[in-house]
Amino acid sequence: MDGDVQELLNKKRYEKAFEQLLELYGKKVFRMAVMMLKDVGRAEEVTQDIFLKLWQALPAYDGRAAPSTWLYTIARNTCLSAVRAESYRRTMSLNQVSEPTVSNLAPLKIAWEEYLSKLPEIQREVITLFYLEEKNIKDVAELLDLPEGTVKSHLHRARRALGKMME
Amino acid sequence: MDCEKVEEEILESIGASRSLMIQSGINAHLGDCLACSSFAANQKSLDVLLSAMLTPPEMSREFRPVLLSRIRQEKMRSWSEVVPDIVHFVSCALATGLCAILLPFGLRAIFFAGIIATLITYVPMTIIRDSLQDIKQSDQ
Repeated sequence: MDGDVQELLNKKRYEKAFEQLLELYGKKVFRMAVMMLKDVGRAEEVTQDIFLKLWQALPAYDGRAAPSTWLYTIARNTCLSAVRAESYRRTMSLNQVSEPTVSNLAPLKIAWEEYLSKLPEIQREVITLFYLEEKNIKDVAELLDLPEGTVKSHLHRARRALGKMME
Repeated sequence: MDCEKVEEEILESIGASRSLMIQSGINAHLGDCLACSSFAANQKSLDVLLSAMLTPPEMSREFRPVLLSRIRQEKMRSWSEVVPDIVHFVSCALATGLCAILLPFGLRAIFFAGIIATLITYVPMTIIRDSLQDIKQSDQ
């Protein structure tokens, strides 16, 4: 799959390469954005930004990394910038908002978000992506740029910790 | 199999299929060990809960059309950025050509003056364009 895209990029057929990258990795990138931003609407906007950046950067692709690795790097950096911008915006708005906001989340979901938030960040990311990526370790490893063994080890630790919280 | 190995296998088995031999070894151990069978039950319900809580989200139908329209805009924007340069160089070339036809000076002098005039006018044009872009970006 990556080989086909790489060939298209070598032939400077950027539109076709972009179409394939969007088709192959669009959903995965979106799920990673959901995991990092915890907001589906915002994640969709950021996914658009990621693919727009990819489109702008395609002529500069030098073939050193696989297209998917390159795309995931753009995606991670864009998501991190969005997370930073979001936390800054939230800090700013906290000074302005006096009324508490009413959450429409189900109590169970709130409890689970609390459990997940107690995990170290990397474990939270791994376990969330594991379920969002339909339990595919290889995809999680690629998205987070970690070896599969490391992903498994974080996943096991997260599962043990969550299991203890459930008891 | 000892308890530690069984716990690892239970954690490993979530999202992956185990061989029949390993599975029967785990089952045999779980039948005898209360701690491990409670660990297995706990992990199984955790998996069910997490699967329900963390369902893969779907992108909206508008995602693709909106993205493609943003890319079209981007193409237009990058094209519009080079248009002033093209217009400038073509106009200067035409003016130089016209001067070569109409003015009673040597061709070499006219082409030399044309190149100098093109470069001299290009510098302020670039400075003005960059400043306007800076203003536009700071407004956004």
